[in-house]
Amino acid sequence: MTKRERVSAADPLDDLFRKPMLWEGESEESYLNLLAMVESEMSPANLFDKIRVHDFADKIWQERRLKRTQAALIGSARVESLAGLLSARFGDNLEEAVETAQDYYSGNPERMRRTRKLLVEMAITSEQIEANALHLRSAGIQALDRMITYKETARNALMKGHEKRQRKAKKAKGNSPSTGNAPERVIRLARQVSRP
Amino acid sequence: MASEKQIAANRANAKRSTGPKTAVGKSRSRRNAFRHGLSLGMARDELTSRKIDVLARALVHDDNDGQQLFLATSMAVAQVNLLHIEKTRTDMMDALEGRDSDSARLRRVAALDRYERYARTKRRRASEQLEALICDGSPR
Repeated sequence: MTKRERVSAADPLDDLFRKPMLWEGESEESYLNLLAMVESEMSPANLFDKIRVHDFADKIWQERRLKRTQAALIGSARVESLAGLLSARFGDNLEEAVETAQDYYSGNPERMRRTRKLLVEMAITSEQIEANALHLRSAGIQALDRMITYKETARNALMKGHEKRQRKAKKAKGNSPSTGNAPERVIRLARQVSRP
Repeated sequence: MASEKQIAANRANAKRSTGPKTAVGKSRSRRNAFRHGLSLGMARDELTSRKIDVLARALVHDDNDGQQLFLATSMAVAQVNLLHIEKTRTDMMDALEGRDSDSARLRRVAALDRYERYARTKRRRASEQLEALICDGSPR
């Protein structure tokens, strides 16, 4: 049995590779599209390459997911943040400060207009709200930052390894004409899809 | 420094509370510091062993080459371990739903990267050696 036959015959392997660990609300189709894109760029020749393709796609996917989580974490603190800034006006009446802050993000034009007027009066800017939200969630944001940095580092290491193997393969072929610059295309792809 | 009186009081207090007494209490307190069990290494049930075996045999060129099989098994163990870490991470993040301000839990999720890094290094080393063995006939 040749190597290629052995790999294609090993269907139970799909269990190890094809099932992405998706978080709630994530689309399996989007993940598989990303995987297909990476696969077409890296053109895996054997099972080792297949593992690398999955690693690379996973890292891009996880990076995007963590960036989304980070944005959601900041978003979840906006009402709390604005209520905190409004407390200068409402004093001990925290409930009213929270209600006013909720009005600002309610999507109801009339309620939003009233709150906006109050924000202008109190010279509260959206930058202040964002900054206070960041401050409120700073511990969580730091944890997510660490995770994102690790994913980026791991992705870069995978890329370096891929480039090294490509150079070695090219050298072994005796500088035969290249079929394309796969590493560069994959780097470009990573940049393109890792945007939040 | 504690006085003689304080030391005697501490000893008397310690005698009154010496931890869980019942088997249920002892078994519960035994798991007080348990988080996810990733530092214990992987539990090898039948299904996990089969997955490792299938992957290891798919990675080697020659099933009868003990060295190839050893390296492929190391690589497969690390690969299955990585999947287990990812599953733990997903479960922890799912448990976080609606509690996104829980930074202590997020830090715990971030701590999983340490286990991932370790498993990844093990897999990379085994993979490099195995590929070299398959291509050149000698491990790096």
